Amino acid sequence: MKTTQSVDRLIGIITILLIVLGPLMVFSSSTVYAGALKKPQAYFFEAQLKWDLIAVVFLLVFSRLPLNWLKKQWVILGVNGASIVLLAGLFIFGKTINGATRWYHLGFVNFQPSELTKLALILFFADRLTRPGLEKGDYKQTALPMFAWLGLSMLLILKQPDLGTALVIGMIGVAMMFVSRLRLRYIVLSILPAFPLLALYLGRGGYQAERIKSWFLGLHDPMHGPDQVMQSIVGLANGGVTGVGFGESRQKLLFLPEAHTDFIFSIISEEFGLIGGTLILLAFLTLVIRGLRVARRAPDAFSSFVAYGISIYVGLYAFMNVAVVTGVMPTTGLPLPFISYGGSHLIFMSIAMGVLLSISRETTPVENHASDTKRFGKAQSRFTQSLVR
Amino acid sequence: MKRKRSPFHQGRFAFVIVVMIIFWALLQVTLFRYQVIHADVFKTFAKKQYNKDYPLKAPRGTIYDREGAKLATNIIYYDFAVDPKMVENPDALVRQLTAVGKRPASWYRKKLAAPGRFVYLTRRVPSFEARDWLRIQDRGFIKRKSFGRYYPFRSYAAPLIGFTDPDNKGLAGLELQYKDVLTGHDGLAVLQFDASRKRVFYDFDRPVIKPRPGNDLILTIDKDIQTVVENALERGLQRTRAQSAMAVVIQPYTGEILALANAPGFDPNRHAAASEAAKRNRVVTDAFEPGSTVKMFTAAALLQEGLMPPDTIVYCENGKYPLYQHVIRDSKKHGWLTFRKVIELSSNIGIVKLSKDLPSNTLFRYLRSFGFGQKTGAGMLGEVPGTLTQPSTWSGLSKASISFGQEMSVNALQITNAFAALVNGGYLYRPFVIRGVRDPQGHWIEKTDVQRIRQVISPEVGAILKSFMKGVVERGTGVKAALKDAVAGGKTGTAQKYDPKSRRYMAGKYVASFIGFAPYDTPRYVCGVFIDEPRVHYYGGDAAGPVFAEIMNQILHFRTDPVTPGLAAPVQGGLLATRLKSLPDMRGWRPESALAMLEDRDYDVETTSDTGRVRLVSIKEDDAVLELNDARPAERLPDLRGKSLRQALELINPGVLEVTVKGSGRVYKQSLAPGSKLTPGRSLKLFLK
Repeated sequence: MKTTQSVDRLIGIITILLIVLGPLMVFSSSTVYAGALKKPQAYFFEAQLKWDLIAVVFLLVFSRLPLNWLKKQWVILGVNGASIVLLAGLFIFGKTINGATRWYHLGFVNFQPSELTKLALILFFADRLTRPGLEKGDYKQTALPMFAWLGLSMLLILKQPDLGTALVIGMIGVAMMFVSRLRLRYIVLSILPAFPLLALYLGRGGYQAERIKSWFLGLHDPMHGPDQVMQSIVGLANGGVTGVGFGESRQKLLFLPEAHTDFIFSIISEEFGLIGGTLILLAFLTLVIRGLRVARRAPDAFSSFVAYGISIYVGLYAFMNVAVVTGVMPTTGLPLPFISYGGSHLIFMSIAMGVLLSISRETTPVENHASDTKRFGKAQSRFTQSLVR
Repeated sequence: MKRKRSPFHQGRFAFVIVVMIIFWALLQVTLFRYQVIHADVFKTFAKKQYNKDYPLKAPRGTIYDREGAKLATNIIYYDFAVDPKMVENPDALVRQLTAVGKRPASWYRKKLAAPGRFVYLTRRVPSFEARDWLRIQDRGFIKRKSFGRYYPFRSYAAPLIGFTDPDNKGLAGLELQYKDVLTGHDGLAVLQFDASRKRVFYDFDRPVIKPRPGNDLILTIDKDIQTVVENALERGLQRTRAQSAMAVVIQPYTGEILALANAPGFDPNRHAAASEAAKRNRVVTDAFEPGSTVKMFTAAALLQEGLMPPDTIVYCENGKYPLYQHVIRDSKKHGWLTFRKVIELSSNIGIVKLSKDLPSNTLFRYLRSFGFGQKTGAGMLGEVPGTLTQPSTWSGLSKASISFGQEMSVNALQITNAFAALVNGGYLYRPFVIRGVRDPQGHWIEKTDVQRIRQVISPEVGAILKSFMKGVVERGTGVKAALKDAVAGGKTGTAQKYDPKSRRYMAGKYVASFIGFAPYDTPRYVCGVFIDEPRVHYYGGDAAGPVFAEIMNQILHFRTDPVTPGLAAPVQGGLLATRLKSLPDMRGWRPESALAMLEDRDYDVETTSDTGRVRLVSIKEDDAVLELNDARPAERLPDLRGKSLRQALELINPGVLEVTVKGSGRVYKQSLAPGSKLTPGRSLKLFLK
């Protein structure tokens, strides 16, 4: 059955390149900020470099782990159990930064358990979606456990509050259910009540609602939008097509807040221009497409869903981050995968990519199923499948 | 090989891929929009937030008197204001303010309760008076610093010097007239900021442009004489209870204006409060009928034409002399008087009868020659030429009226300057008040030349007229102008004011004047004093004479060196200017030639080195410095095309090339190509068109 013994090299190379790019951009975008905090210029750079080394180790280790290990029920349950416990534990032991309780303070590092939740949910969904009777089982057996688990996780994250992450895991979960053969009806019916709930949540006011209002203003004219997004777009414009050159960003002179974390893409685009930004976007698009290819060729259904979930996870994260930076979406607080300053997302992203690479070792070509394509048209299906074959 | 069934729903899977691609495409388009299409809008904004332009104010040039005293200079001013919302302790602040300021506590309390965030408490406090204000401590107390003009001598010569607006733009007087000279070029520093506005970065691409201060204006005014004149005039004004008064002191051998005063004056430091009339430099802007002072010019014409010897006698009709349905009157009844007595006692009838044989045209020609009816050329703003109509339009009475100073008008500077021509040997000089312009390093950029306009009368006639004027002071109408330690001469004038509206002379309104000179033999000063509408004494001798005496008695002691008449004498500035002017441009000369030229003109010459050619000649007083070019001048031929012949020749080393010129106009061809090596003896042909 096995047709390849080696990992998907493209995914591996792109991941490594992005991981390497991270500390460089963190360095360029954080020196002034570090100076303003009266820390050495390379403070953030050095910290990120350490995380980078750990991330590469995780990437390599997980890319070599046998797949069967992940499939074990105790692993799946253990990871999910840990995820929920850690999320719940935040309310007692969490560290509050800027009014949000998202982190555990572990002495040397702040750990964000919602990063673990993403992986846990991917495993959980992959397990549930590959159980027999998915196509024909009733709601209680098939959809309910998944939505319940997803809902609980989202609720705990919303409570932190972290609307962005909650939405992202919701989207990952729904995206996973969507591509399975689960009845579409179940999915739609389960999601519908979420919209009034979301409206209610935002209707209470608070900073989330303000953010969305301000985003809407900025969508029309960034000059009147939120200041951070406006400064971010000023950075983009400064970069133009070719960019101002590495280290030459002016926006990092404290004009753009969080330049080395969530808004690092703006600094990249300022320093390397449209060309640099496009290359980053294409890198992530390639990761998504190749990841989906891995998903289609995975040796078993469980691995397929895991690979699919990871691809969506990386893609959504990257695109939503860029969407925030360019003002297309309201500010959510999502980092740019691999590049933004921070350890939690980098480690878990690397673990996820490690797993994806490990799946890619055992891929086999697959055949199309003509029966599925009726609803969406053959041409489209043919095009997309040619991408991921 | 049997392939297993995919766990994915193929259609939905494809849909997800399409959604991801659309998402990516949307981002890509957005990036393109902001980075390419709309980039400029944001870039402009970005520049604004990164860079802040700091204009570096160039100080305005200083106005100096002839001795280097500052008449107009720049100092720091403070504006003090309050932000009522920021005030921490209103009671304490009001207490501090009342201790320092001139206003009552209630006034300050009201200001502290005023709406708005910026309420002025006081403005334009000079830095030397602001010390107590600066000690006031309160978060709501605002201190604002600015540079501004300051006139240390306040009202002295104020209408002449003028004043500036708060932005240092000249509004009046020399400040307005010489604004281009005085205004400097502001510099610019572009500083880069970070968002906190704390850290400043220097932009290497845009270096600081240093401000270039304005040039200095050096006046002929002597602040000591000006002070004396202002004080004497002020006292005269009080004594006569007149409406206003003017005085001019001129150096008769050069035309330099040493003092020029208007009273009542105004303080240019607070010019807004002054009336427009006080701001006018009435010495040149106001024309008036001069009256009897003009008799001197009629006398000059009579003597110069040889029509009447000084001892001619004339019957003065006991004060009434009918002429063309008019009666000409004297203020006192006189019988037979000599020409000299006519002047000394200022008899109108006498001068009219004496000038019976003087043709109208001749009188007109003399008066024109003395500068009447024309601007003096002193170059002060708003000067009026006065009126002197053509003889062809004169009525039968006109010549008589003009002969004693009616039916014509003059300005004070004009007639004082004309008097200078009576006493300096007969030469009319162009009066001037600007000695020159110096750059901020103190090098002269411009110097005013003494300009002798014409000879009007012979020195002999001048001597007779001087003796007439001595008589006026010794025993005539001007006895009150007599000096303590020196012999003076002068002429009184009492002119009834003419109302152009009603075309009548106004009863009881006079311009009393006295124009005189001292010392007698070689006058150092000519001084005219004019008092408008005196109410106590209205005769020129009584109203203006004492002011003249007061001025002269003091200023004659300022200098003890002998006065020598003519061009060789009194003042260096002007003479130096002529001497300098007559020097050719010596750049490129051999040092020996330049040395010979300069020594010929009595300069002490110093050279910086002994080889090369003259690069620069700098001259200061009697010393000249020759700066030589050690490196031999341009070894290669420059491109001369398009240059005028003069420019071209300046560019060529004359000692090396033999130049022949063909045609005229501008060089369009040169026989040696630009850049050719210049070896001695080569010949260059220039074609001009």
